[in-house]
Amino acid sequence: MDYEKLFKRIGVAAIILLFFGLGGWYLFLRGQSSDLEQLRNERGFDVGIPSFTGSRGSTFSNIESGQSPTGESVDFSLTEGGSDASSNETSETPRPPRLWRTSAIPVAGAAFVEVASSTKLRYVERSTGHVFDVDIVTGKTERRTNTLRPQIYRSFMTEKGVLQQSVEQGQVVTFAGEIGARGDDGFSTFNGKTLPPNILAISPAPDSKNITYIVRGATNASVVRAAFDGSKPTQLASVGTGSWNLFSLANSTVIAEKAASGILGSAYTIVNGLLNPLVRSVPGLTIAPHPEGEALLYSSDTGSDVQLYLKPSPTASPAGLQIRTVAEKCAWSTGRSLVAYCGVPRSMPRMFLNLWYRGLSHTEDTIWKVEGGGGTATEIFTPQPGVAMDVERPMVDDTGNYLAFINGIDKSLWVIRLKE
Amino acid sequence: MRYLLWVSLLVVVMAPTVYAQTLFIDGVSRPLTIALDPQYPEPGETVRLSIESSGIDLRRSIVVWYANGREIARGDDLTEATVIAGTVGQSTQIEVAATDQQGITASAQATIIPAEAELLWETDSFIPPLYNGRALPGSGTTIRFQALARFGVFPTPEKDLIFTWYRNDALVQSASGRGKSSAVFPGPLLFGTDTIRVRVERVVGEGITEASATYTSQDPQPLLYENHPLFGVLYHRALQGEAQTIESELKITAVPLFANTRDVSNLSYEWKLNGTSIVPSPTEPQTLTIDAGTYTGPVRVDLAITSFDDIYLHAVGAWNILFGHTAGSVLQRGLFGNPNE
Repeated sequence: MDYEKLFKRIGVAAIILLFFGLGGWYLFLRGQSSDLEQLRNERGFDVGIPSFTGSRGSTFSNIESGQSPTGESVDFSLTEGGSDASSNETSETPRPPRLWRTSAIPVAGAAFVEVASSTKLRYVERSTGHVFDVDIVTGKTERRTNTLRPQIYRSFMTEKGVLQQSVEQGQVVTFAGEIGARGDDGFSTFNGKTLPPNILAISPAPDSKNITYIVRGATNASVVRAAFDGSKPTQLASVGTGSWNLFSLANSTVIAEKAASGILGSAYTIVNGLLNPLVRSVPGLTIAPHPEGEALLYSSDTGSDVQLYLKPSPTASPAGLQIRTVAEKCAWSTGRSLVAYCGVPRSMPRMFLNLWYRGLSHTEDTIWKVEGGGGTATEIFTPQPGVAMDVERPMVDDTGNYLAFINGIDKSLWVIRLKE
Repeated sequence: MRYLLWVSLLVVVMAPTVYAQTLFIDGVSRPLTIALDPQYPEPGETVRLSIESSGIDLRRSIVVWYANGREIARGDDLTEATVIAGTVGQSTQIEVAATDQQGITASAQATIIPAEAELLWETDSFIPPLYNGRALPGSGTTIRFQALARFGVFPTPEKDLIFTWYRNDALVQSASGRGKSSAVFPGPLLFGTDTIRVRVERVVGEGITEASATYTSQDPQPLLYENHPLFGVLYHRALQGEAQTIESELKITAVPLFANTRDVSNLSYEWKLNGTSIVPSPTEPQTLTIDAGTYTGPVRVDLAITSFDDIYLHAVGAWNILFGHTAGSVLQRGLFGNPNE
């Protein structure tokens, strides 16, 4: 028996089998990659998010795999010019998908702002306090500041100013910063002042010129208006209790008692130092006042049921809407139109507000359009299965084309294009 | 002139927002009493009017109702009618006249002056910083109230108002009085429910209104949150029941929601890991760092929160944390029941 020839044949056969095996494995992996790629594209992960690796540094790169709500890894390794490169090939500006998770990591707050005559979605990264601007048309994200302010729990922002609230030794610390000119490193300066302690609620004016806040005094709480840096404070009103949500609107200042399921709450406009009732003694009251007009969306949570109401004007009778959600999940379109968009949970447990505020319950929302003129509500967007959105702090841009919100499940930032 | 001898008796049932006046004339008129429900109507509220009489048989009478001089209802045995109250401070004069088959008449008047009030309140029980909801009273906490009342277009100074406070329908004389728009009361006993009511009336002029608030004492609830090194305490995701993490070290912070304290570090925290007591940090006893090292598997966390100042405070909770779970990290997988999983 010629063992040498036998071994050679066996060897050749083994090599051929190995090649077939590797080929099959390659085809298998390619199929899996294709499926994953398709899934990612459907969820909007094909958008060219700039890299934050290297000298700029960011929590984006510090957290290796991001935090997809589906638990899968998100590819943040695209180059900064990724979007542009694809646009050169297609001669079209690529745009994000209709539902786009703008920031996978937790944010402290966001707002639509006008920067160089284009609309940007500005947000503050919770871990660093860095300010980012997102071009909502192209999806391009740019970090604006390089000043580290760690663990920002809540933030509000306007074109120029950013309010950041952190917690130090159990006390809320509020910092009012202004985004200045760009430096040589490409980042803008971010200087400001720490506002007085014990601020219970704060809201910047839409025109960026001032802020309104509620601060606790010895016996009462004061509603104070001041310049953005906290200077020149003027008391708007004195109230006997301090548990309020505050809304600084274009033409008025509105306060609403903080809500709990089944507990009566009221909301007021502040007029000449007095509280003028908007809504009185509603169980589990939350409100969404129109930013420019007098219309109001408000909701009740009796503990067993949640109901949303529309009040077109202060003197009009409220009309119950067909959708069950809380007003905190609603945002008005700007302008005089009575159009609002709401996240509407597929289901809500009893005592919803109490569980929601404590982080014991989250919802899976669909997006509805509320047309106040007719008192109608229409579902306009349903996320695909497996994507859960718990809408918090929603906002609509000035064009009425985009709705942004924080996902209460993980504090990530999402954008939905309202018009296709 | 004996038929012209009128003996009159004026009975005025006075309430600052509602004036029910009963007139009767011997031989001609009989007593008639008018009642309003609610007694102190709010603006725009539907007011149910009803009459009673011991001197005239209303079942055999024609009853006519007037509001501001305009007839609003007429009929036999029509002892009830409704009227919509006006705006704040807007007076509505109600008149009712009944005539029986013998021609005996009875009449009454009432004045409705709607006013409105709200009772704002807040408690000093503990809630985490920037908590979005309202603090609810726990055992031993106190509650501060502020009454807001409106009697007309122009505000009435508080010094011109008399506030009468009731706790569970018992008059609280010490808190009541002219200008006393705010009051502080102890919270209800454990598992108890309290109703605070305030009645506000003007010193001069007409008007009275009421507001009330009802709340139940909350058993302080220990909530557990991940205290993330980058993001801080993840208050938006409470740990519930079973939790999983691939991390070998996890920092957790307990929140004694609605406990009777302003400084949670003053409370006593008894931590146990798998049944073994752990001595917490003296400066931050509400936070515990679990270093699992190379251990993989479940860790049972037991927590009991008590207070030297509040013997009723005994908040307990238990959680299971599975270390070394490979399905995903704390954040990726939603350690605390992420519905996206």
